[in-house]
Amino acid sequence: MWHSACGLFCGMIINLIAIWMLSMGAPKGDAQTSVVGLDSLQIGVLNYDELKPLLQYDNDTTYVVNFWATWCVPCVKELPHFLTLEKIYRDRPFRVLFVSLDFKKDYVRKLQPFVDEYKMNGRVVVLEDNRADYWINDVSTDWSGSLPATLVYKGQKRAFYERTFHHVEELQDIVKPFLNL
Amino acid sequence: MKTLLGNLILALVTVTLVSWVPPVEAYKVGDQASDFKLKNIDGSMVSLADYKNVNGYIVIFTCNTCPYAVMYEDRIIDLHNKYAPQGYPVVAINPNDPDVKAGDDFASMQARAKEKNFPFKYLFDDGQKIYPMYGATRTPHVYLLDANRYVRYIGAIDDNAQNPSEVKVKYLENAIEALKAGNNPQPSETKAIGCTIKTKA
Repeated sequence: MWHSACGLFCGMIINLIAIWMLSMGAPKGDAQTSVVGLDSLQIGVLNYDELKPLLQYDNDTTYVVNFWATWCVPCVKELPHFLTLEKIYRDRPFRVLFVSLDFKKDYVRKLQPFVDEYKMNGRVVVLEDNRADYWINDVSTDWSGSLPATLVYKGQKRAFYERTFHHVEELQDIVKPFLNL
Repeated sequence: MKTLLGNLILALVTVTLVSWVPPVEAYKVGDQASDFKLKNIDGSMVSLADYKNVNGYIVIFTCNTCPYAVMYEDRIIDLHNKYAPQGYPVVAINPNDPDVKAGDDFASMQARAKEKNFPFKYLFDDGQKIYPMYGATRTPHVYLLDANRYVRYIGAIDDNAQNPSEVKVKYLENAIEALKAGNNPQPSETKAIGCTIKTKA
């Protein structure tokens, strides 16, 4: 009980600290530049080097990382299933992270209102990095680059899906083995 | 007993072999691509074989609705205007199922082509038979073929969808220049973010 509670809590804290450190602590590079001037944006804008640590925490928490964008219709359609998944496994060492690939012009205009409306604050970062040919392969060599795409991992165990999920049950099926359910 | 076991194993192996259907393999660089016959926005049926005296084909799976495809529209027009006279015409194919994606139907394709004055053929993959053969997964997704339809480059147009003025590497143009010089494109495959090809689930 303590273990699973810590898994969730610690995972959450680590994640928040990491996002905070990454978004605040990088004075150079694209990420920081793009935050400047976008004062109303409460979402961390990261380049891939800054995002990568969030894709490889080595602990007992299962992470589901959903790559999406507000312009991507199937992404927006499947997104509520991920929010339901969070609720289903709220007492487990389990975290969902949403990595937005929205366009820079839409961060404030579209992304932030969407994140507010869906109450996704604290679990969303923007990936802004033109080296797509590099980081798509680094996330998974199975990824051709289409959205949505979803990574599930715990420690060294990883699974990657370049597909849309139509029911929360489909998501549970891929997550259960990671949670030993 | 031994024979029975042997037969059983043989039967199992047979069942396994028979039931194993090879998955549809996406084209890789070096494969010869199939020709096709698809309806162009002017109503005519178009095959690659219809193009005369070409040195290759810039086959681009793209569509009306994907924001990435839209961001590349002007660049695709420029590519055709620059390279069709050099023997490398753009052949655009919309792979989306219009029942799933409103705005990617044939009439909308015609309207968009007229609006943007597309100088290239814009074909409709009616029934979605061609894009799976090529292995396209997103829009836009480029297949650069040589005159004999061998795939020489697969992937992105360049490295910056959002801002043409900040493009650092023009992957596709570099690949065409390599072909013109008799070389193999390097890189021969690149990846980029794009929209899924819309199909019925």
